[in-house]
Amino acid sequence: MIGFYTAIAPFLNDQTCGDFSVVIDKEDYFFWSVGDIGGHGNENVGDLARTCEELLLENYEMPLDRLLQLIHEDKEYRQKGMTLFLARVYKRTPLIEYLGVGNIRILHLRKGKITQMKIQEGIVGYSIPGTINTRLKKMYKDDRVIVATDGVSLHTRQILADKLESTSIDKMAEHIVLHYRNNDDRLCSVMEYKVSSSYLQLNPNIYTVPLS
Amino acid sequence: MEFRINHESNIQSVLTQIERYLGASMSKKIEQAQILTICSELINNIYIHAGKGMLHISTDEGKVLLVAKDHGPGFSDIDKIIKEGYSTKSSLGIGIPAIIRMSDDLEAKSNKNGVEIRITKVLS
Repeated sequence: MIGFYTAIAPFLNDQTCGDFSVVIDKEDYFFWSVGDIGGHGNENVGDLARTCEELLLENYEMPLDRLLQLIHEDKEYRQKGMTLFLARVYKRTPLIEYLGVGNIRILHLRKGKITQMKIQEGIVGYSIPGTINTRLKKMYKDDRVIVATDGVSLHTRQILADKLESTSIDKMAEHIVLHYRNNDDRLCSVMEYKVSSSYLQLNPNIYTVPLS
Repeated sequence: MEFRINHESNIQSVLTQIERYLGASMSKKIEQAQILTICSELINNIYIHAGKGMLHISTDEGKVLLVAKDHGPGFSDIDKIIKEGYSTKSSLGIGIPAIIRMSDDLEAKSNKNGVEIRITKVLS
């Protein structure tokens, strides 16, 4: 199974929290999104975050770049601007498809090695790159992808030092939100790539990490 | 080595050159065959979807790195592309899912200007 867990800690309260995450379980893939509406944690952007969640729930089947464009062109988000990460995690093919624009960090964790996944600069609603890159990355069993908004001070060395790879994803996300703080709303969403044992029996070699 | 794909007639010639290159660079036939299969799929995809493009092959510290680039329309509806047996146009190939599985690492970037796919195959 592919697992998701999102931990969130509003800077003040739910009404002022612009951070949100959406996960939708479909037959072939999971749709996964993390967003952060601008507002520095002291403006009432919670309603805007709920509106964006609803828009994603209605349109998640669109190609990711078109979905980003749809949100960018929606007048609702021009007032505040937002950061957005959109992804599909495929179930039968070990693959994540993703894009991200704005001040958000995405880390890939595999066997004790953490790498940063590329996103683009910009503010959705204000100004986004003229060319939006959709990226693909092969996944292996037990790979994790960590997405954190800018309220979280995400340090790769600290993640390894705290031995978070060996904890469950819920403990990992909760620990990051609790201990890696900046002065803003904090959200950390973690995905762990697992497959069912029956599928692995049929395809025994496809998730084995190479030796080097 | 860099190979340019710009016409259907040079696909076979490019594959023959790649086969020679792999034969000179690595000893295991099964690995040669796997990499050649991946190359064949990448080259056919370039030709079918973009008309022309390039494939770069290099070896480094027990790994083979393949980089395929084209200026085609980019990925659209990836969820359909990676479904087993799905093909947007007639293809000789084994499909994107098989490429992903045969690769030890795969990263790709797609936008309105084209596609870049980077594949790593670790040699045993």
